Amino acid sequence: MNKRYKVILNFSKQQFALSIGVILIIFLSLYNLQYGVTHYELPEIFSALWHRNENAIIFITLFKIRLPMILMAIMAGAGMAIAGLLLQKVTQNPLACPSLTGMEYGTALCVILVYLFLPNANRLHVLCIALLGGVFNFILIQCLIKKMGVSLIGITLIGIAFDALYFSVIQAILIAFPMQAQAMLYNLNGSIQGITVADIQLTFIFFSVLLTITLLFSRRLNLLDLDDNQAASLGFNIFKYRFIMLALSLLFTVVMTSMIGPLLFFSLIVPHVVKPFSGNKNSIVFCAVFGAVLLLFAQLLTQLITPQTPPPVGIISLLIAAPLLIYITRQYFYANS
Amino acid sequence: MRIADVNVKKYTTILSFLLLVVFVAGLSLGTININLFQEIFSHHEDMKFILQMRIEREIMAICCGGMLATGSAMLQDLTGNKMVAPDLIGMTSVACLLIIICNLFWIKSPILNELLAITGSALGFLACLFLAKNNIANRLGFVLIGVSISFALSAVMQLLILNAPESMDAYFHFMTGSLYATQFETVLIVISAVLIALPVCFIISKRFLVFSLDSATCHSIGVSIKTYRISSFLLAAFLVGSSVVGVGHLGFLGIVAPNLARLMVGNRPPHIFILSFLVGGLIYLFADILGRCLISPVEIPAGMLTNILGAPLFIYILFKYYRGQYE
Repeated sequence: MNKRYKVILNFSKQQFALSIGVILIIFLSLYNLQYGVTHYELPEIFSALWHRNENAIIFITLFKIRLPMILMAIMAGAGMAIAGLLLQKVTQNPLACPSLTGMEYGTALCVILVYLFLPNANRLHVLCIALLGGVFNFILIQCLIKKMGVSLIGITLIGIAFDALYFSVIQAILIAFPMQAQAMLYNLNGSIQGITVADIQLTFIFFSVLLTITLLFSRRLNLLDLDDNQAASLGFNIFKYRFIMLALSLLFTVVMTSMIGPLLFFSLIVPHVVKPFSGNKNSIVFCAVFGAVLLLFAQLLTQLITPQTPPPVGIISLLIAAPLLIYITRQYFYANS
Repeated sequence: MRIADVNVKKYTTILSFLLLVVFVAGLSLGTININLFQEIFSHHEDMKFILQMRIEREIMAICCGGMLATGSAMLQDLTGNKMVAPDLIGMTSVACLLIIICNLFWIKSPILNELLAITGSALGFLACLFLAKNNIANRLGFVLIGVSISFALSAVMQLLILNAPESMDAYFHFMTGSLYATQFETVLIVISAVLIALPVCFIISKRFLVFSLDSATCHSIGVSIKTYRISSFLLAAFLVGSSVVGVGHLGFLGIVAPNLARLMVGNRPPHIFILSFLVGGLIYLFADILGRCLISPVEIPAGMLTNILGAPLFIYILFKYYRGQYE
């Protein structure tokens, strides 16, 4: 009796948290639709949706400008959170995240170089070249780490070093060749202003494919906690799965970063934030949902603080993420003292 | 010991000579190249003005870069963690934030800036220490907390600057470590800070070797380690704060310069500070001149170039560090 009760409680706790996450997504999306330079009430939004007058200002503002931003925030939040989780599982490093392996700013650098040399490139070309750049970066940094055999602090500091390096190179390029410098500057901090419907379509294709593959492999995720010998004794080809998960994480990072720019510690903290609710099961779904919630919340804050000149969402998400990172660090390293 | 002393002398001479060469070269290089030998004896007012500007700027570069490096060397000794730097534990960003807030909402005065920067850097270190539960033995945790403080505060600064009523350029150098448009008063303050801090540093740092002992040993040999800790902390805050007044948030120099100095002569307190000063000044001066000359009419802020130069140097240092060729 007692046991069954426990199982039910455990089950419902997870479900409860997940459903709260989904409800939060819906509410935050509605708020995001409402707030901006002009504030719309809910009935106005529904009537605009009902009449579908394609040329009315309200329709254009709501469904051509704000809706793509919301969808992008959801996809980017979910994608980056999953990328962080997969990377942490593969490297078995609780502090791994795509920006601390130089992937985010490396990708941003690639994007800016592409725009510099091929001004007419469309998003797909940018994506492909950014992918090459991101993979190259990752391999470079992993080789450095392998060669040095450094400890956790060394790995983290190398990541910060590469971030600073790429960031400076990007800024130097922007100063030297002032092409749409303001827009680019925003892109550096992760901004979803100016996302168009075409971008959404392209991102959605990649996102849905990647998410499906990730969910297919999600049952095997915890097997990555095993070490090589244990996996071998179980007859489980761990290298294959490590490779697949790593590739997925890279792809998520590159796709999202080339669309909205680096989000820094965002993907580090989300897996740690959801861990108390999710336990070890279904952590991918939890990460996706709560990543989306967090980024939507950050986006809402940008619209609430200064609607006329909204700051990049990356700054706000950094402001949210940094105290959480301090909290996580205290939990991990100073639990006993 | 004697060989090491010879090493110190050798490196000090080489670095001073290099610094002199780069200083003189920097006077003549820039958007307008000046032939120094002709201009010293001529009476062109424009050229004299340009030369004066460049001299101010280069002195500022040497002083600020050097002070940052020395302060960081002191912090590294104090915490016993060679991977700590003022920009990594949030000291420079707290100082920058205080200065920006004061300038935006109250008054602009260089002396007040100096005081604010010193308080800010002291506060940054204390905040980091407090959040790390006063436990600096855990190196990664300490650095991570510092990095998150520093990133969060730089985000706040960007928000403030984006919504500032004046143009962004006035505060741009606090984010990037640029030497563009240095004011004469600031140069004076920075020079006097160097003149005060360096002798003090040289006098009291002779005993900093006690930091390598534990507290019980210190007690038994009758050394009050607390005094040394507090004095070195205050001195480090003074050095870092003064450099922030001049050049703002400067990344990477703080971690690279002292460690390069250590690679040269080993970890020996009085010498390491002087060598860090020279190395830091040299790197920053070089970065500044490079930034002026690379894309001539436009200027790349020197802080970015220190980042670009500093990252490979840092990887090299890590390489040495983890291969055990390190004292």
